[in-house]
Amino acid sequence: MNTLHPIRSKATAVVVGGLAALMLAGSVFAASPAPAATAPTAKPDTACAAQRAAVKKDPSVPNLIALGNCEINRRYVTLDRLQGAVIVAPYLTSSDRTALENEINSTRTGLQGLKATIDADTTVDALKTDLPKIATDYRVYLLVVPQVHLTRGADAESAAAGRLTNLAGRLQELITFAQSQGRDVTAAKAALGAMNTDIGDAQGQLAGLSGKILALTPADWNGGTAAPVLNGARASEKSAHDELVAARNEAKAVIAALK
Amino acid sequence: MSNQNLRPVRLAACLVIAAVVLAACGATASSGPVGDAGAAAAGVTVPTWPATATPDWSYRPDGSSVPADATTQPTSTALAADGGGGNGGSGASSSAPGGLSAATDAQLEQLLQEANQALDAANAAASDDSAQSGQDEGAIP
Repeated sequence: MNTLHPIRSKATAVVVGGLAALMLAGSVFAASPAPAATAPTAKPDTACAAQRAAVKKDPSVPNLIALGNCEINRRYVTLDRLQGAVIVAPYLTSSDRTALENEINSTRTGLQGLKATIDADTTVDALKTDLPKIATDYRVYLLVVPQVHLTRGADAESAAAGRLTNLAGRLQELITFAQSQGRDVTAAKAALGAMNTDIGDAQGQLAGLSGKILALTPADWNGGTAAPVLNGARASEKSAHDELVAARNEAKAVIAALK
Repeated sequence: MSNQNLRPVRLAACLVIAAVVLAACGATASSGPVGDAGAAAAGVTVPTWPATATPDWSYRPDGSSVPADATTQPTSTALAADGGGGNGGSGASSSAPGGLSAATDAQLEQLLQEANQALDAANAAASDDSAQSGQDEGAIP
């Protein structure tokens, strides 16, 4: 079973990467709903239901090992999906992409080692010590998943801010020229001023954000310090998004005033 | 005599004729002033070119009248002139007087689209976070 994993993992990564690319490509042309600012609600625990029922009925070594394998395997699937998302994310910075890839790989490697340990356990007591580590030592769903997506979001918004900054510079040139030609540029200047303010506010929200997200560890989650950082990142990205959308609309107002 | 033997004779004859014609032309050319002076001497009216270094933009060889501001540099009233540099158009393709050129409009639209695409990618990431984060780690005994 272990020897099959790398093959399955690569195949899954390819499929997931392709799906992620399709989803991303679709999202580019889709309407732009505002991102959620609050923490996602906990999903119901429906994974590995059969194995969990078996353990409840008979907490034997084979049943506990089967539950452990199921929990680890679904994390492999999630990590493959995350890897695909990181591969196709168009705006991740090089350093953030590398950091996420390293985190995903080290988490997978750690889980593979833990799986070997669990498979070798021979007592219920040993398994009751090792099985909880699947969650507490890696925090795939509570930490790694949001780290990937929030970093993607922060970098994409930073890219948007950069592009809007370029646009603002070009609009300033056009306003200056229009003014030199004796045109009334009052409205255009006001809209450009608001645009620059919004871009600056968004950049303030995003400054250093991905670094804070990526620095979090499972120990931070277990200690209660990671969740506030992640929730704060969600709020910052929501605010930055709103400000960047406003800046984009103000750019349109400048263009309209110059026409 | 064969044709081959006649060639040197023909060539010599041609050279003599050419020399005579050239001599006649030289005698005519040196017989009086050339250019404007020659034309004036011959009684032909010659237009007077401005003596200043600055070209006179109002000059029209056909004598037609020109607008009063014709001596200033040609300008476009459209922002198509793209003051301030950048990658804008040359101004030759202005879409409306006082407005943006088609090229500039397209450039601005492109910059807007690039910002939109980045914002859409941020939306996609937020949606994935909302859908996938916080999934139960599993009630592991």
